[in-house]
Amino acid sequence: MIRLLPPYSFLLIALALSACARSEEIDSSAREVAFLSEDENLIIAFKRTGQVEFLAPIEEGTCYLLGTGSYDADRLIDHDGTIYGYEIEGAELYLDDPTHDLLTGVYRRVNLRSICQARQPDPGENSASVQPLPLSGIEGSGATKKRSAEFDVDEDTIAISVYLFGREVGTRARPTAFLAPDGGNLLVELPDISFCDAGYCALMLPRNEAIPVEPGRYRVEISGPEEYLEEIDARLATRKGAVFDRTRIPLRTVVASTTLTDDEIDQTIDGIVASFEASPYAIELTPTEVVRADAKYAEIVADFRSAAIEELFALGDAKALNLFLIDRAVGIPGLLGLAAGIPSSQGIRGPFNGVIVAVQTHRTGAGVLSTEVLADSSAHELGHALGLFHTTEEDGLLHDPIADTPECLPEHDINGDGSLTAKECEALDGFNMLFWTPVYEDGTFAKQDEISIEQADVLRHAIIGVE
Amino acid sequence: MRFLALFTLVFVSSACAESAPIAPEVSEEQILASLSARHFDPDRPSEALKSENARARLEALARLEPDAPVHLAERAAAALRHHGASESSRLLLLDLAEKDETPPGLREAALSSLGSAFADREKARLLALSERLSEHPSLGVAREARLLGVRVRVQGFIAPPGADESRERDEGRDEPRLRFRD
Repeated sequence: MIRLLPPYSFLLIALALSACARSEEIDSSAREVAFLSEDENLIIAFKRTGQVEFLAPIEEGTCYLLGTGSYDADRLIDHDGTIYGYEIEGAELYLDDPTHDLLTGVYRRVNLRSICQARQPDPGENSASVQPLPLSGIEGSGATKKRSAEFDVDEDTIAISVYLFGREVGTRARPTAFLAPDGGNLLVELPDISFCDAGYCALMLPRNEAIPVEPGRYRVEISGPEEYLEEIDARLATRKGAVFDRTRIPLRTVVASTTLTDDEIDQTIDGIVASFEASPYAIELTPTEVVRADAKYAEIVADFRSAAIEELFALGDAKALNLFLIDRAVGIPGLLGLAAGIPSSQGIRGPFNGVIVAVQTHRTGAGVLSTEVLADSSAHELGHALGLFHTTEEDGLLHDPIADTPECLPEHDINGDGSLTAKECEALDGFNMLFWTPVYEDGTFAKQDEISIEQADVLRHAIIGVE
Repeated sequence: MRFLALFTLVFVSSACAESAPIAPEVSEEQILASLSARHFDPDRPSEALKSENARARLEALARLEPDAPVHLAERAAAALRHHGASESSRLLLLDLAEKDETPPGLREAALSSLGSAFADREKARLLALSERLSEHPSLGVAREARLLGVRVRVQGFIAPPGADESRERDEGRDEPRLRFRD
């Protein structure tokens, strides 16, 4: 029964209840005990440390921690010292908010993990270039353990990527070693060989010309808590044969946007293809059919572990670059585009192989769309999906691992505002496709379609590249 | 004794005057550059956007003029959460959040900022707004509306400014990303 109690009546009822039933005390040995509000918008979690947490479950597998306080046997205490009476009776928490009456109510006990722990999407179907990569059993002792995998690379192989999927991959479980045939740890030599984000890691060779793929035995080691290592799904993508004079990369466009016209889609795709034509090595993006997705995916949460992304990305193609044009990304204000990874899981049709680009954020207040800027944003994200990092980040301190992309440094920050614009870096990488910001000056966008020779070399080694 | 008191008063006053923060000048270009990054995280903006000098420009951008880019308006509205002391920012965000004509993305950003920095004022109005929009057809608007309602309810448990506790809860997600990828 749902009860909303006015102030003070709660205490009377609680007292009456306590007379006939022994109330349950918070078990201090329990990891946490959590209760969900009647409207299911608020979780109150009692920690064994004596702290109480207030969380908002916003999507499946995601909760925001909004606030904390402390508790004792029958009171919660907030930052102002305000007291809230509580009592636990069976699976219910009765809370009294005598000051504001905003938290007063009955909360039902829930399993916090089942609500807040990230979901693990199916990583997807492999194409012929991708194989399962068997992992060893759990090794080591202590809280952090290890799993490993070994694989042989022959002389025909020109590119490899190891993909790791799992709920806590990229957060609590990460690759800690990538041993080359000569025994050297490539992650020490070049940390950027690895890219991780929540739920996904990719180890990619070549990331630059300095560290090519060598024939022989490679070994990957992943470290983390045992429970997260156990569920890791590892796969190996390889490309064999020659590097072509002209490399074609199929581009599949899935349109979930309800506002784009066919002409606008065509203009955008043409713009993307043209951007890559500037590559010093011939890189030809070859558009395949345009697929219209259900309108329910037009607005989507920008989390590649979400069920909606998993469903939408199932419309992608394992052997193509996948561009998903949506109207809006939820949760990241003003998002222009987002790649699932650097690189994305090329060769697999699944939720980490593709980029989302939001159409509505490319419009003006009057609704006018610039397909040119939409194409530029898409090309930038597709560059990430093919394994390229930003050439220069905002402060000029972080750069990509590629030798021939000019580095715009803090000393180029002419106005000393800590933020490098394309104009300030125009003699360097300001017009590179992978520069950190498209803004030139006074809000105008720069046309960023420069690709360096070494960037192009990475592109032509793409797992999904064909002749 | 009177001289000593006067001296102390003058000394303390001058010390206070010297230690009072002076807002650095922020250029138009700097605001636009910070807002225009391919990666923009409203909870970790550049110092420029937090400057009091940037507030008026952010408010102007958030009003979304017909020829202005939507993404800048959304980001400006999101950045106004760092001006929680400003009554004009609060009223603008309320206006954007309450008006049905506001584009969904901008409305989502306004609701998010209201919840992040202004949930301690006009609680009844915010709760009514939250309830009205919690089933909005826009996923983003509905989500931020529900979140706004929760923030109002747990206001006493939200750490005071300067001790930002707002983060994702699910084990380890608060670790930094290795690389930006958007």
